[in-house]
This record gives sequence, structure tokens and C-alpha cells, in this order.
Amino acid sequence: MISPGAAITPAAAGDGVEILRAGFGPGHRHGRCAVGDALRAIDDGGDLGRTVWLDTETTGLAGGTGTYAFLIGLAYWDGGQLVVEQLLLRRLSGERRLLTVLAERLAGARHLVTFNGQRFDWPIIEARFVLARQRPASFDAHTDLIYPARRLWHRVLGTHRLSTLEAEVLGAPRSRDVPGWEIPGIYVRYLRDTDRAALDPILVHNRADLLALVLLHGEVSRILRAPLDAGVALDWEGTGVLVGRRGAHAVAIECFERAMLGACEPGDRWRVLQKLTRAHRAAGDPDGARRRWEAEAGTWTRPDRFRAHVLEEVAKARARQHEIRGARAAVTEALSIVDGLLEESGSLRAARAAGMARLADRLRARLARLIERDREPSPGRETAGQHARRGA
Amino acid sequence: MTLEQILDAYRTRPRFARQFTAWRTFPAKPAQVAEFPEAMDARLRHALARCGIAQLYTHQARAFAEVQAGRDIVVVTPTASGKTLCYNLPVLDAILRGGGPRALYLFPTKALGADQVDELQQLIRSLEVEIGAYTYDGDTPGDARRTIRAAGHIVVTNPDMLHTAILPHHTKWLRLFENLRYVVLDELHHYRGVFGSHLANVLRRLERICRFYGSAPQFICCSATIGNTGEHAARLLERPVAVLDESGAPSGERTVAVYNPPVVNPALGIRRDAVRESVAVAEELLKGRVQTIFFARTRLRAELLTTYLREAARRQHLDPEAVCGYRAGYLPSERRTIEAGLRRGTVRAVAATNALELGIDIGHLSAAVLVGYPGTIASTWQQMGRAGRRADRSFAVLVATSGALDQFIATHPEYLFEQPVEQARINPDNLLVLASHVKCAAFELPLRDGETFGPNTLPEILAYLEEEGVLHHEDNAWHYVAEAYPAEGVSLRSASPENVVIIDTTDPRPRVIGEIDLPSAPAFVHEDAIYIHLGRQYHVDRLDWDERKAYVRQVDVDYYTDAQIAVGVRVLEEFARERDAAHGEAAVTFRPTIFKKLRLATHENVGFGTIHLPETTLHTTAAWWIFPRARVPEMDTDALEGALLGVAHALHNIAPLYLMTDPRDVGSTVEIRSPHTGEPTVTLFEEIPGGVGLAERLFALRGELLDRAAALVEGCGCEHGCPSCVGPVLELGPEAKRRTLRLLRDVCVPA
Ligand SMILES: [Zn+2]
Repeated sequence: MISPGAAITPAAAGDGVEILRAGFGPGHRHGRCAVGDALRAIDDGGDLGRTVWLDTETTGLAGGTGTYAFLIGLAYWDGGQLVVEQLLLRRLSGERRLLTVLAERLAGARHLVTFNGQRFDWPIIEARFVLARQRPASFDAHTDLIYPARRLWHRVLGTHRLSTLEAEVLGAPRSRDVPGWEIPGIYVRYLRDTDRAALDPILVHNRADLLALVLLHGEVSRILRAPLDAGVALDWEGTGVLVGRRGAHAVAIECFERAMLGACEPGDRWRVLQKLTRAHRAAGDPDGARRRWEAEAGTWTRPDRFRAHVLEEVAKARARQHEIRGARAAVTEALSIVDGLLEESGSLRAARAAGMARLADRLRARLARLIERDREPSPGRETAGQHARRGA
Repeated sequence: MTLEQILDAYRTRPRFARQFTAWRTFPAKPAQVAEFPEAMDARLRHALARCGIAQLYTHQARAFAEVQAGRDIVVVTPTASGKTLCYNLPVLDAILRGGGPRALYLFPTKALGADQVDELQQLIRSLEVEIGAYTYDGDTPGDARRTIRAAGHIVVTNPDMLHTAILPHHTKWLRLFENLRYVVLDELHHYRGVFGSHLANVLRRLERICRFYGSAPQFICCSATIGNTGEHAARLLERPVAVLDESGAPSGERTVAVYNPPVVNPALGIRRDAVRESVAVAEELLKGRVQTIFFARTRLRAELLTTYLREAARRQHLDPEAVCGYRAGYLPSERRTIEAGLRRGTVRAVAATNALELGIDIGHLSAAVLVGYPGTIASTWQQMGRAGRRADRSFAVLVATSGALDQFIATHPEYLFEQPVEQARINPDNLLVLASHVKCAAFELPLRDGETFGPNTLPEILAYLEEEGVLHHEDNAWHYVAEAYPAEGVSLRSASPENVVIIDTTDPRPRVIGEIDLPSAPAFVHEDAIYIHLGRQYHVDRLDWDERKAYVRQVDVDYYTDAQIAVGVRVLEEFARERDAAHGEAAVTFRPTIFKKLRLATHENVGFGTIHLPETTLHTTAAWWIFPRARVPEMDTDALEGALLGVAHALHNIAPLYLMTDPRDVGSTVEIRSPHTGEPTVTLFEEIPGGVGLAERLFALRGELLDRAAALVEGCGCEHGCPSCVGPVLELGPEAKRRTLRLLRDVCVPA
């Protein structure tokens, strides 16, 4: 639980809005991570002062105009400490004022960071602004950590819920936390009986969410910068995708290679290989892609459908580089595997056999084209091919 | 053979001639046209000219002028009279004028909406101006939704989407609502009963949201001919609406006929099967290569019809493939192929359910055959209107089934041709319907104290919803504070939110095959019932009443089951009474007792069982007729009961003619001595909780209904009574017909 080191001060009250503020110094730790380290990892653009982390608690989970964001938690760096500020709606009629305060706080921010905020929190806040006839704040960027979190951890942890990430990634499991689904009910009860103390667990929960959000942001930034020495369990396939999107193709390739080590099923291998060879091509190395398919053909020697597909890719890659004979050899072998499988197709399900037959047809057509090219090499093309090979 | 010769043959050949109970020929009507209105944007005129339209029909020109004058209108037009221009012209004209006005088009079904967008886009293309017209429905993908919200000048959707997706997210639709100038409501007569009562409330919500954004849209509606178009429109929109009901569209000469199949068993009043008989009539049309559309009320009948028509086509040396079925459940691509075939003429006959009735573009055919009365006069004319080319002669015939209402129409065809008596009824203030929309409205915007939303019962509803924890009152406003998304739990097409799910356990992996509304469940899915679904028999193994689940298994047996439900009526409040008739609020109880097993072919009783289910109660509205005991001293109790049952049967069957409802929307029961009236009483009650205004209308028609019921019984060809008039005579006794008539004619004095 958070709190040690954080003084919670009521900053303002009245008019149906209560504002609470807490500060966390750079040394404040949450599980394995310290606030200062996280902020350093995040701050690549030097825009830390204009970043705001946001998390809300609402009266419903389905969204729509009838959902109130009764607690809006914000975190920002004021130069000396991480400030967590919570705007609590004490009466529904105070909403206009709450939104005015929120707009003031967000006025200077350029970068919004949330967890699932693109689909949930922010549309609700936008709706509240429109309903109050105020202009919603706008940002240059909205980073929703749920997307990288899903890529990095979902397959490893079986979920990418914030509380699980907090426990497993940050090493800070929560105890005695109020379950999220109970929160709307607690607040509605409070509206009737105005027992303010009943809201305390929600405020604690929201502060914990915000701190987890900031630290998770730090972890994600750190990992994406150097995933190979991350020191935490990662889904290498998802990591490769994220890193590849940032243009670090060589790192992405290494991530995918690590993913291959754990991929035993043909389906998984096929999916990762596609990404891996695409990363080779994106890195400007088509030859690397070809070699990778060839390596797979050397590793996976069982004469099954997967091998046939791999050999087809080998053939395609070779043909692209005008190694017609090599391509023919690969297709011929693929075809003999498929024909063999089709012969035993009594044991295959009809749909499966039909797919196999289509594959065989495709391979035959490919083979025919290759034979055609081999027999009558157009001089121009052959020359171009040699050029290409020399160049490569 | 020409259509002319075929019609002559029908009139002269004894096989057919005697069976026509009505034969009316309407002369060709020339087009009444008007110049393009002065006020219309020149670009729009040019676009119309490019589409081959040089002038408008008078009703289109008048609609344009009325909308320009700022009035809300409802245009009443026959099928295929160019009604879409009645709304597309004023809307496009306003958009061309600038200022960014927007329009919302509502169609009762998704398919119809999609069709209208195609047509609208054609017109927009010839305008050569960037105007966004989009369909917004459940199939619209996410990114397209964003485009539509931001840039859709015209958003085409259905009431269900408006209710569940647009209004509850109105802040995302800010641009639409800020600039909403027109709301188009097509097929207005379709919005009746429960659906209409819900729609009226959705429109109340729409108006509220528009007010919030500072817009006040004008309504442009279209409707088929019904008995109360103006009143119905005014009730839906809660404001006066100008009715434009003179069509300037031309029509060729047309013959409309009613055909009653020959009687095969005079004692029981049984007639030849309507499907077979329709095919016999149609064979002449096939022989003459007359392009014909058939309408059947059920899917099963449409399928049968297709099979028989194909056989007939073979006999007439016609490619059987030129005969097609067409109904809900066909894939969109299949439908498009059939529609194109109809337009090209490669399809010569099509057997449809009412799927086509809603106005999908298939061009004009030469003949229409309606197998059975479609249920309303409006639908009858809409379906008949499918036959009618601009210049040539056309033919439409209704072939009656042995059903009571069909027989009434067949023997009293004047009902079809005179001013329609049927009225669309809605009750936007039905408490259950209203309360569910008050919830939705509060979700959309807090309800201010003193704000009006429907009737003056609002404060009580608000207080009730606060008690239920749905609303919270603070600072002069009612806020929605429940977690659930309220529109999700409110279906616009049903009054009872609860259903029993029917689960087929024949295969190891159980699957849901359907649903049945809770009030009907005891009669159809009690344990050991035989439940029929898509023509298959299922045995109900278990009914879990609390979980609302019925577990069934496919079987093949030679009997069906008939549940006996004891119906009791308790009048809670009498709203009005005139001599021997009254209407009011009632609690109707249903107590399932036993079920009978009846042999399929012979209806002979082969066993029975007990139904163990709780009694259910329906709070609703009812109308009742009193038959004072003292006026029928000659009848003993059994005789009187049989006669009362005969009266109830006849009234129940005649009522839909005035109410535009399915017979299932009204229930009936009889009492030898009603605790409320103290006399023999026949009660008709609404099966819809709270009622949608049907009982009130029944009361208003109290005398006329008795007369019509008497005419039905008297005009029936049977001797002692039959299911077409008084009900199954085996249960009522041979004197039932005479005694029922006596009650209807002499005993009850309703005014
Ligand atoms: Zn009869």
C-alpha cells in the first residue's frame, strides 16, 4: 500500500468538490521501483513537466452520458516531487466546478497518460465537459498503456489487468484493496447517506492506481528502450512487435528469435516466423529472411504440413532472388510432402484435406511457373538477377 | 394469353367465377404533375433532370412547399408513388443552401434503411456536391462510425439504434444534434402497439436532447393509408401534423378481387386449402407468362407455395428456376439476385413473406396474389400495390383462408374498399413503457424538477425510481446513478422484458433454438409439452421457471399438446360504462391446469397430464360486454356458456380488423356470473402489460363490434357453427351458432 512518505492534505473543499493532494519524492518506492527511476526512464523528450497521468472512478462501467466520473485522479511532476491530486465530487451538483478545476489543471499539459483511458476514462470526461457546456481539454498525445501492456505481458501472465501488472511487474501486490466492481455502489450509497468516511477506501485505491500507472509507464519505457536486458518476464513476440514499430528492427529480430525458442507448436512458430522474416525485410535484409526460412527448414524436418508451408516460403524467397533451381527443389519437396499427406487423407477431416488439396494445387502452379522460368530464362531478367545477387 | 384474356377467363369459367366475392376495376389514373417549385435550388433541378425527372407529382411538390413553410407533415401515399422524393427534396435543398443542417432518417428495419441510402446516394451523385449520407446500424464498423458522427449530413438508422446507441451517447453526436433540422419517419403506420408506444417515448427523448443542443427539428413522415393517419402521427409526435393524402402518381387500369376457395365440407364449413387454391388461380397467370408476386403470411406457407408453383411452372413448360422464394432468412446476396431477376424479367413468379412489403425496390409486377389476409388493410393494399405498372393493366387478388377474419373479409369485401376502419393505436403513457424511458431520459440528461416528459404521472415514476436506487434527487434535478446502461434492458419491440430461453439438448452440445415471452411460456413450454419450432417437434423435458429456461429434445411423435389455462379477470377500476359495455383496468390471472395430447390427423384425445406451474398475473386494460341473465331465460347454464364462448370467439376474431394488431395481442374470457358485473360477461383484454390503448378503442366500438361479429357468424357458410365463426362446435354443441347469434343480436345493449 502507498502512503508512507505521502502526506495527504485536503487542498480545498466546498461547492460539492473536495480536492486532496499527496506528494511522493523521487526516492519513494512501490515494490521494486522508485518514483525517480521511473520518471527518468519516461523522460525522453524532456517534456515531463507537461505530462499528466489520469485515472477516474465512475458510477458505471458501461459508459454513456449517464455515467459520472465522481473521482478524477491526476499525477504530475512539479520538479521536486510527484504530486497526486484527487478531485472528488461530493455532490453531483458540484460537477461544473469539478470540471472547471480539472480544465485548469490540464490547461498546460500536452501529454496524457492513462491505462485504458482511450476507450473508457477520457470519452467519459469528454462527455462530462460537453454536458456542462464546457470545452474539453485537448492534448498532443494520449498514451494508453493498456496497449503496450497487453503486448508485453498478456501471454505471459494470462491477463493484462493493472492490479496483476502491479503485483507481477512492479512487485507490489495490493492487500485489502476495494474491488473495482464495488466502487459505483459505494459511491451511490454515499450520495444518500453522505457518510464521507465510506469513500476513503476508494481514494486509497485511486491513489494506488495512479502510482502504479506512473511506475508502469516507467517500466514500459525502460523495457522498450532495451528489452534484451529488461530483467522481467516478457512476451518476446509482443515485445518484438512494439520494438519493431519504433524502428529498432535488429532488436525486434532478436526478440522474435527468443520467442522462437519458446514456440513449439507449428501454429506459433508460423506466426512468429512471419513477423521475424518481415522484420528482416523491414531492416533491408531480404537475404536474412531467406536464410531464416532455410534455417527453419533445417530445424523442422518432420514431413508435415508446416514443413510444406516453410518450404513454400523458402521457394518464394529463393525465386525472388532468382535462384530458380533452389526454388524448384524446395517446391518439389513441399509437393511430395503434401501429396504424401493427401494419400493418407482418410485420416484427415474433410475441411483439412480440402485445404491441403488447395495447397497442393498452389504448389503445382508455382512449380510450373518455376519450370517455365528455368527453361526459357529471359536474358534481361537473368542479368538483373545476377546484378541483384552481386549487389546483395 | 394476355392478362385481359386471363381475367375474362376467371370471370366466365365456372371453376373460378363463382368463387370471386369481389371484383372491382379501377380506371387508369393519369399523373398529376407540378412544375419544380420556384424555391428549389437550381442544382437540385438539374440533378433531377439528369435522373430523368422533369416535373414533380403534385404530392411531392406540396410536401416540398409544406416543409418549406415549416410544418410537420405526414404524406399518405400508395406503394411506389415516389414518396422518397417527398423527404429527399426538402432535405437536400436545405443542405445545398448551406449552414450545415443535418437530417436523421428512421426506418423500421435495417434492410429498408440500407435500401434508402442506395437510392439517396444515386440522387446525391447526380448533384455532384459532397453530401454525406450514411447508414448507421449494428453492422457499421468503428472507424466508419466516427466519420458518420463528424461528417454525416444525413444519418439513416432505425429506432432501436437511436434508442440504444445514439441518444445515450449524444455528446459524441454533438454536431448532428446541434444542427438537426429534419427527422424523417417512414412507414409511420408500422409504429403501432408496443413498438409505437416505445417510439413515441424515444421521440420524447430525442426532443429533449435537441432542446439541450438548441435545435428543434421538423418532422417529415410517410404512411400507408390507415383510418387515423393524422391522429396517429399527432399522438406519436405529440403535436399537430399536416396530412397530405392526395397522390399525384399515375396508375394503369387495375382489377382488385377477393377469392374465397370452394367449400368442401359444408357441415363443418371447411374450404379448400388457400395455398393449393392460389396455385390453381396462378397457373393461368404462369401460362400467360404474367409476372406475379405471391405473399404468404408464414415462412412455411411461402416455402410450400414455391414448391407447388415450381410444379405448376413445369406443367406450363416454364423453367422452374423462374419461380423463387423470398423471405427473411435469405442472404442479402440471394435477395439482390432475386430482385435483379425480377427487374430483368428472368424471374416470373416470386413467393414472399411480408419481407418485401416494406418497400424494397423490385420494380412493378403485373399481378399480385395474397395467400391469406395479411392481417391489416394497410398491408393488404401495400402488398396489392406491388402489382401496378404505370401504363398497363394489373391484377391483384386476395385468396381467403378458412380463418375467421379471412372469412369475414371474403364475405364482406366492402371493408377493403371503403374508408379503412382500422386504426393504429399507441399508448405512450403505458406505465411500464414510460417508466423505462424515464430511466433512459435521466441517463441522457438529468431530469429537472418541473420538467415534463409525457403525462403528469412523472413525479410518481421519479419517486419510484429513486426508491429503486436508479435515480438520485439533488439540487432540483434527478440524476441517473444506477450502474446498468438502461437502454440495454429496454427492447422497443416487446412490452415484457422477460423471456424463457428454449434450449435444445438433442446433441451433446446444447444450443439455444429460440425464446418465448414469459406470459406465453406456461401454455407452450410446460413440461411434457410438444413444442413446434421451424416445423420440427420438440419434447419439453424440463422447464426451469426461476432460471427462465426450457430444456427440449427433438422427437417424432404423432400427437400435439394443448394446454388448458384457466383465465380469471378481476376488474380493478372501471374507466367508463355505457349500458351493457364498459372498459377499465384489470388483473388477469392465468392458472395452467392440464394439457391434452391430441392425435395430429384426427385431433382425437389420446391422453393428458397436469401442468405444475405457478399462476401468473397480468395487469392490463380490458373491455367487457354484459349479457343480462334475465334476457335469456330459455338457456340453461351449459347452453349460455357455449353461446358466450361463441361470442368471445367471434369478437376476438373481428377485433383485429379495427385494431391493426395480431390476434395474439388480445385475449378473451367468459364468465357465467362475473364478480364485477354480476352477470354473464365476455371480456377482451390486452395481452400487453398496461395495455397500449386497444381496450379503449374496443369500448369505443362496442356496438359496431357486436354487429360485425353477428355478421361474421351469420355470413359463415357452415350449418351449426365452425372454427371460422363461433369456434370448435364439438365443444360448444350444435346449437351454438343460433344461440351465439341470439346473444349478439338481442341481448347486449351496448349504447
Ligand atoms: Zn361457421
